[in-house]
Amino acid sequence: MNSVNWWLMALAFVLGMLLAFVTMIRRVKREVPIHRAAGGVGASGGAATARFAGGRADAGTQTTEMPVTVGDSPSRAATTGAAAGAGAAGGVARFAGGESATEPHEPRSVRATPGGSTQAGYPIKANEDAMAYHTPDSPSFERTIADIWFKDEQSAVDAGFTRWDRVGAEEVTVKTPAREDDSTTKLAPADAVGAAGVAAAAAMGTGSTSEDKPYGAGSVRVAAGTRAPQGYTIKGNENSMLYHTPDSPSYAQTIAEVWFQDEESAIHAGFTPWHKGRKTR
Amino acid sequence: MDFVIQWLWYLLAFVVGSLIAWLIIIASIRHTSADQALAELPGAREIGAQR
Repeated sequence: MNSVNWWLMALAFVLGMLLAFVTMIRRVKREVPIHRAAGGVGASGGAATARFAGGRADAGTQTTEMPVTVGDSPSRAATTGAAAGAGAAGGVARFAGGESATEPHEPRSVRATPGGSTQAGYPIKANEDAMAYHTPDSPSFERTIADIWFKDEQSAVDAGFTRWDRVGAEEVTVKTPAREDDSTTKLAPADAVGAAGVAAAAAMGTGSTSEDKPYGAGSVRVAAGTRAPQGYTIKGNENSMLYHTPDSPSYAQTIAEVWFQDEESAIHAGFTPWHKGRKTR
Repeated sequence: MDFVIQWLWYLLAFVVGSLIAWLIIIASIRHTSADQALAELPGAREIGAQR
């Protein structure tokens, strides 16, 4: 023992710790697999999208536009001239698509802009995936990415959204085999609210949900839950601006907001390969 | 022989360091499954999708 170099001992100790830390601690995946189609008009029985991500609370500041869910994407509707006039500036929310010109909560809601800033006078965040809305007192308020901002709760309710704390009341408890104890994991905001989502979508009129060449040649946008056109194999996610080739581990779980014919089209449209996105985490 | 014994001490230090780190990790970081994370974030959509 006397002949042992204590500095080397300390070095070995520290190396052991470091190695253990490095091999055991991993960040939760940034891009979240989507388990079900959002509001799945075409999907079996009213599914809603549920995504999770680990990580950074500050990401809650990011706001994304929901391009294809149920009904027309408002901004696209605007570009096609369907929504001429009436508060088009700033991407005012238009929930009803298609031929229905009536927009039930038009004056009381605003679609979140890609920039993601808070809309003055619209304190309620609504999320179209889960068809839930969050008031500022919701614990998830900061983290939630708003698709639509509502003026008041009644507007959100009228639009078919469920209050964040009531989502749980409708949820179904599902036992997860992975857990050793008898507790149950609540998974169902997606399922419970999904049905509501579909109903709301039906009530509001879904309209056309496909769009050809949203990002130029080689890209197509289809309704959630619908199959991609033949030859389009690359899935594009507009929220993260990543694209997934079939060899991506998240390919099956990712819901494509845009489909690309090939990687070149995706890159040309400003999307990043999924594996590069991982590295930049 | 001394040389081998020395290296055994270093190996022991390495193992003890790893063990301590492992204990710290399991005590401080709760493992989160995908299902659990989903359940804890009702209504959230792609939180963290930021490059």
